[in-house]
Amino acid sequence: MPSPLEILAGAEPAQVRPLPPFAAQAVNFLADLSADLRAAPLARGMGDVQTFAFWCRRSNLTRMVQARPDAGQRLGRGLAFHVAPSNVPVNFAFTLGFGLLSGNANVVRLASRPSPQADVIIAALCRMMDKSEHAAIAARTALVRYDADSDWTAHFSAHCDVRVIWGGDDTVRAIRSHVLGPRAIDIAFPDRYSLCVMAAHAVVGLDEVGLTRLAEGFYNDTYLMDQNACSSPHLVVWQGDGATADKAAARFWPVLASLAQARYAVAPVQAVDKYTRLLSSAIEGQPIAATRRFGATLTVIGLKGLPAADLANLRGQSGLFWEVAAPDLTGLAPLVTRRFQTLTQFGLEAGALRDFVITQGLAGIDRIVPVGKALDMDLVWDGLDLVAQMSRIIDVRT
Amino acid sequence: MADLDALLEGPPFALDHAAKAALFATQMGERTRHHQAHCDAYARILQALDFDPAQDRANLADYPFLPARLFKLHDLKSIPDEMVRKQLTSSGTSSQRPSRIFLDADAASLQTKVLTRIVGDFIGKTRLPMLVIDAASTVKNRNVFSARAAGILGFSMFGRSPAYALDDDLQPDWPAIDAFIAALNGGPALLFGFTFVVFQHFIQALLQSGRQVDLSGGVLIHGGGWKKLADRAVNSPTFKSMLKDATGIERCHNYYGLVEQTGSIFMECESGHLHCSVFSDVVIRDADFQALPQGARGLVQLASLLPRSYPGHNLLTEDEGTVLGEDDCPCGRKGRYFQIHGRTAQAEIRGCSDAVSP
Repeated sequence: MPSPLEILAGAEPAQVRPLPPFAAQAVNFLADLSADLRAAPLARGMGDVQTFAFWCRRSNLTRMVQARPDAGQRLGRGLAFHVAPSNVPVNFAFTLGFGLLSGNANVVRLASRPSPQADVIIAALCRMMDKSEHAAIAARTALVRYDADSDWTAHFSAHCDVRVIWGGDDTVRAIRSHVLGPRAIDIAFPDRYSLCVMAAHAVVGLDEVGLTRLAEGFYNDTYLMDQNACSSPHLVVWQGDGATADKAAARFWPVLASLAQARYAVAPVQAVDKYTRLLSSAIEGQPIAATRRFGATLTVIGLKGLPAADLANLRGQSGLFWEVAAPDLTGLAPLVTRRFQTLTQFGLEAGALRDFVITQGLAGIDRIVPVGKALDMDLVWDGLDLVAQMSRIIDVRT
Repeated sequence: MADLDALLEGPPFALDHAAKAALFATQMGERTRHHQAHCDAYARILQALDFDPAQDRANLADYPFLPARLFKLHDLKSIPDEMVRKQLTSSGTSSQRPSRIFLDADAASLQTKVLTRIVGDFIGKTRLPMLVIDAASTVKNRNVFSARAAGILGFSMFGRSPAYALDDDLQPDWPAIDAFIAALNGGPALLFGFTFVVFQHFIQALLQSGRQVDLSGGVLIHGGGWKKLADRAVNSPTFKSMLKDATGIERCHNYYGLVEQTGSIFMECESGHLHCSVFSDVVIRDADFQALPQGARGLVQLASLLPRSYPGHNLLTEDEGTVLGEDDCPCGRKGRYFQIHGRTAQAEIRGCSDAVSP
């Protein structure tokens, strides 16, 4: 291999004998990493690093173990090769966590673009791996960087047992051009689309505190990631009659706007992007009823009704949303394609929403969470039970 | 277009604040209504913005503007296809579709007339011997004009029998340059080219060649943006001083303008300020698109009275600039004058859909 492999932490796994899911070595390693990150001065101001550290704190790991009574009948697949995305700085740490907890040795390829969050987590990983009690994990874990045009993707693809690809459709396609071994599987996380449904009457009925809390949740789901995460909603469906939907929208958006104005810095070019998107939609003939614009921070394009074409074209970034009123969700069903991932909701019954997805046989929507939880990563993602995917069952019959 | 005929009769930098503000308040109302009536896409935009142009607004800043980028995304025209006589395209970057601008016969001729009026104010009405700092092959395709070709052809009317200073590889064409200088015999001349081409392929090439070139009677007009030069830390004063070292030229006017508003360009005066003519005006806006006062830095919005065949009369650029003053430039020209700081910074957007290239 002429092109160098930069190893940021750990060592290229020489020994990839699988462990059971939630093996003590892996759980202890992650719990210690969590404690280290929560105490690390440099990590203090980094919300996303703290979110990761909070996710892999010991009590949460214990909860995960308890939720998995079949762990003792499983083993990791072997070597997991992860391709992390370039612009979600802490994603590589989550995917490493998934690989560790499911019992695999791991090679995680980080994006070439460095980030302060990645640096902080890598430093903590190195501190953990230097400890004698974590030597076993250190020997089966590598965080690497290498040139995109090098042969390393082909190399790891040929040798891994499971390949985990985070990124857009183009990345997934490009990585998939490298052949896997005959027993190996791909877990791909391509581009997805997410939306929000709120019961209009419930929003109208909120007191000021509740309204602010709802707007904060929505802010966290969207602006924290420039509204560009797969699970950030683009479209808000106000469930209710037109008048109630108007009332709910007129209450909700100004509160969100003032929150975002206080917290979210919009570069001029983002403001031009949003304005261009608005005008382009008008040119393309979207059935625009009204537009709400709150300076550079928030633009909401109101539709007269659900468009006949692919809903997933209704995308925004940096605080550009679409809204529509609908008396119920039945009109939505034929528009939900396999691209749909998360439905965030407020004021509806989550179980009823799941029944809606299942009874209507929707091609998409594999995640229903309250507003505010869109970005919460966990072992079930994109409709996949990742521990189950990344491990094998030792099936015993007597 | 009686209004424009009257403006074309008068001097191009003669209107003071009151006259100019009144002119643009009414003319922008007329243009907005014109494009609403003749361009469906524009009419839908006004609807989305909830803007009713029936009544004139008090100020230019009160009218809706389009992002110049929109012309890279959509074909926007206010004339039927069979009226299109000429299509302009921006050079654009390789990853983007270039802007496409559609002109009818009137629009093309108006651009020429206005350009003549504006440039004439800086270099006089006499047609001077002209040296184009580019290759003759740049202007070969007669139907689809790149911004560079359109600029060269547009400015060629100010010169006599233009000579081209560069060969097809953009290297100095020494026989052509020597012949031009010999014929000049120390007299006045017009040089024209794109800023980056002039700098890299002419000024630097001359300095590196060590040849003595005397064009001290010449005036250079150049435009097309500073981005590539800013990357090399070359600014306007450096450019001018290197130009003087290489050629002896002391008169040098940069110009600024959009391919979407060809004709009504902004010329840099003797004091180094870009000037609005009677055909154009500028508004500076912040990220909220609020109009900013003189002296503040923000996004540059440009208004032009020329575009009727496409809705490009009021455009928001992605350049940042500052209005420096109005009616009081030491050069004596009326109207607003400003400076351009360059492109506004690109934002790094987070998110999972744009991942690492494999």
